[in-house]
Amino acid sequence: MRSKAFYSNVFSLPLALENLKRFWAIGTVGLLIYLLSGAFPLVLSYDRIRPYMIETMLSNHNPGYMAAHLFLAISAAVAVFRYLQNTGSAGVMHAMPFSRKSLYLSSYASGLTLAYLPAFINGLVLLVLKTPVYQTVYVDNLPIQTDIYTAANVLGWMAEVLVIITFVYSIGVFAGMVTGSMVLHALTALGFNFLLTALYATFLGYSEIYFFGFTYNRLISDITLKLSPYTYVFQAEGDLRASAWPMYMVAAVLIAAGTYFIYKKRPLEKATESTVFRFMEHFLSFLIVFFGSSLTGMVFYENDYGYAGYVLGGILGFLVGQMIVKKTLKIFDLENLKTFVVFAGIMAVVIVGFNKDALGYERRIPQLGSVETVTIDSYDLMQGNRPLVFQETENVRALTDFHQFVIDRRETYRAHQGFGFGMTLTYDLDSGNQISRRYHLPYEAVMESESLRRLYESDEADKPAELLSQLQMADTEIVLFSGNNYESEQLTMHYSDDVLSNSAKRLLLDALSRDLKEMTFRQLVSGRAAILQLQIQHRTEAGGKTADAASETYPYMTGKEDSNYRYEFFGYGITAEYEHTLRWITENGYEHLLTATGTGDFAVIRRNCEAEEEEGITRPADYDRFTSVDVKHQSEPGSLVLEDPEAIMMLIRDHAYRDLRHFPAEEDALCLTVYHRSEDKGYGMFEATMRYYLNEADLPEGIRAEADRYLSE
Amino acid sequence: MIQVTELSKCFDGFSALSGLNVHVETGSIYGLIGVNGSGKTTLIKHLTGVYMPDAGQVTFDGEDIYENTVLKERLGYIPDDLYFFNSYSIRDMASFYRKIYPAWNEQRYRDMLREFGLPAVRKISKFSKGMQKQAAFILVMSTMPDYLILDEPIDGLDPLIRKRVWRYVVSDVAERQMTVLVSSHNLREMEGICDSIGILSEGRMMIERDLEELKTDIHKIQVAFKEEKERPLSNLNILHREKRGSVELLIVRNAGNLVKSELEKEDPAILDMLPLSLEEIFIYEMGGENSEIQSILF
Repeated sequence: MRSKAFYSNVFSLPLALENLKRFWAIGTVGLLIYLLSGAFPLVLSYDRIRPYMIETMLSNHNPGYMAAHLFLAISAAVAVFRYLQNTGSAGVMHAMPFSRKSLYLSSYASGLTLAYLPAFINGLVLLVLKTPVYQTVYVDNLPIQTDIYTAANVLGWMAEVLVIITFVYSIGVFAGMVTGSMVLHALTALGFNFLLTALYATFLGYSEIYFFGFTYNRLISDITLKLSPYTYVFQAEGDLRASAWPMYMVAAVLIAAGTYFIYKKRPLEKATESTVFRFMEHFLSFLIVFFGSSLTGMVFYENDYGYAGYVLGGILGFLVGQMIVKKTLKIFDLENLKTFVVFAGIMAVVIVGFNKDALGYERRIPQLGSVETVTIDSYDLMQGNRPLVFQETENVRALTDFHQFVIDRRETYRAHQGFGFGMTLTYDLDSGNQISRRYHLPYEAVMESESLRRLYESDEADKPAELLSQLQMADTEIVLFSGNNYESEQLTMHYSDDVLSNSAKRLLLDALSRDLKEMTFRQLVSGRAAILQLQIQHRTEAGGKTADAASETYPYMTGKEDSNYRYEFFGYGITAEYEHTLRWITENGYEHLLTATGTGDFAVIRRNCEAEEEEGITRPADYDRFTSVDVKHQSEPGSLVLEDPEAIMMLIRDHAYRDLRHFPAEEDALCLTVYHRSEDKGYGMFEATMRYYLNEADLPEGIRAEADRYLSE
Repeated sequence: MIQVTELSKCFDGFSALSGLNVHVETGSIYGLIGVNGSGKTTLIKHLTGVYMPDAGQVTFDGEDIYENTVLKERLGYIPDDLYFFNSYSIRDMASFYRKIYPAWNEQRYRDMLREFGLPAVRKISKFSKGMQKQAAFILVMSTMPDYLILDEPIDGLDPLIRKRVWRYVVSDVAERQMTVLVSSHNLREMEGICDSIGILSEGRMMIERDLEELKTDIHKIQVAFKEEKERPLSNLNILHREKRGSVELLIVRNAGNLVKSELEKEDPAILDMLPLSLEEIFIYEMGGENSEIQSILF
């Protein structure tokens, strides 16, 4: 009889088929999850399938699908390599006519088949159920119905699931090769798949707690998520992901190949022990200590318990970790004490390193000569939603001076939680690297900064204003929103000049540009209330490429999205300082937007900000600096109700600040809430539209006298 | 022929086997004896290609067993710690064995199943330990192995079944020249079945002998002489000498004829050649009643 060893040396089909026969239940459960999450609801709503449902399924954003991928990949890896985790089965299987290579490859292949087959069958079911499901997209302003439930999309889903399952499964198999028990195999298979993400999240937690100026780095986050296709699907879209498939498959093959070499070295006598390699024992134990100590420590630290949490979490983590990896409760011996001392030392280095900023993260300011550009991104200091970018040496120096000023006072500013400015500074270096810091600084620190004043009044600060003059009017939509009533005016409809001629639009943007250029730094940071909002959406051709996730799209402005274009959005709060813009608005027939003449509009002035608290907005820490009057309800004495639109508008235009944070510190604040009387809701029913803050010291005499009279009642 | 040469294996610094040599003739039954922890199972896992040696060689007819799938197709192994696929019946297991062992003998499988009276379709996990051993034996013997490695094979089997098991083994050794290595911690169990014996202690081979040769060459003699001799029986290799009054008990290693003729030359008053048990043979081979072998084996 011909020897079967010919193929048993490399691959054993009988063993692979036997595995499928033995573990069919795993596949069946996985298939049920797929069908119940996707096909079943699809059939139930077959005559009215919503595009969202198909989009969620085929983009792998369906929670049931993602759960099934994970369940199948991990369970299959644990099941087919379970024979390694028991001395009896390990002995018998390796005494059979299989080489380690054939055992590994046959088990690997059968496990992968087991894990993927349900997804494949589900894909076939989706193909059978396929029916046109249209989603509206706009191409060249024309709405086009595109079928998103196509065979190509389903096949794409099947391919992506193959990539995800192969990758997760390969890591699951690797986990089995370094552990000696089924339970630990399952736990590490799951843990290793998310280990880097968990480590990243923990370091993020440390950085947020300890580093003054720390900002979430999108680049590192993206890289971390990209390390696994399982997490990558949450981050990227369609084509972007497809281009990464080969990379993940190559990575999975490399992991599988590395695992095979570990298998060849695996000491089979270690079956039933937690780990089969000595280094893994320490590695797993330390991970448990690290996460236990870090998570407990961060919670305690945030609640002002200092380092107690790190110590407590570390000790508990060590005890639990040692019990797990040694599979015994008898862990109190000299050897473990030494291990504990080493682990405690490492944790101390990590925690103290973060706390004392051992790597100089907080103090780092790049050398002037190495900076190509520097960007200031601050909601409070923005013009047109555009961060300011500087590259002239003098400006970069002014910014590094300001940065150094902040760093020198970091111990004072670190604890600052009251009113102030949020600000992100980003240096792009000639090395290609980027340094970003985010600060929350006291109002005075920004307002009184001479460096920032020089920067914001420099020529480079005019770039956002100059950008307006470069916009093509035919590709520009403009909307004006009144801040004081519900009125708005859309100056352009679908990029046509039906409402307003392109030349008139150009004049508006020129006026806006001029205002922006003439605005002083003090005016910019004054925080004056906007009288109305001016919003611009500009489109540019995507150059044949479909707009990707990086493109800013604001389809709500036009109610549609055209995939042939990229969209940019600019928003401006028009305050009293925008003289040229306000003049254009007045002269071109939109003056009604600058008034408070809506039906039944009226303002309520109160001596406090009670309403904000009633709506769940936390009162700022230094609120008491701004008001000392007890909170009163609108219906109680102490509220001054104005119904004269001109008085309301005068107050808003000349005396109001858009929020309490910008309110000059010396005086008490009056809270002005503009209500809109809603006739639909019957007499006496009102809706608050805007809230402003008034500087009592700066109030017109009439209003002050009225307010004092009301308050004294 | 199974040949183990200078085999060594360490587990976390503990030496489980040290410079071990084993020699099993083709078509013979070799008894591997040793107490728990002596290294029997470790040696067997090397013989079945499960463990890779730290040093030394394990060959079957000159070929290394480790990762040798051709050899393993001809190797049958029944471990002490049995393993069957979860929820499988004997029939299911047989179906798998049939596909991976080219010499699978369906007729023998059916005959043995009938003879042992085990249900083919019942889950093996529901069997008693003894029944599971029988199931493993049926499956392994149906693969018609040229080499059979048995680790504590008759533990948990009743005498009738033991007899049946050994009958199959002996029959295959006689008819097909199957080579068998059986491990046990009890020397008495091996007597009467093994052709040769190896005694393992703390990872070392204490003694390895062919039983026939051993039994032919070692003799227990009770003898009394009419008068005291100055240097009596100096031509004989006396392993042990014990005087009980005028009667001497001798354990002698020499050819039977030589022993008898030498003793008769001395004109003994009493001369009895007594039977020796395997235990006694090994005790005296190892140096007498005070030998550590007693504590090891009995």
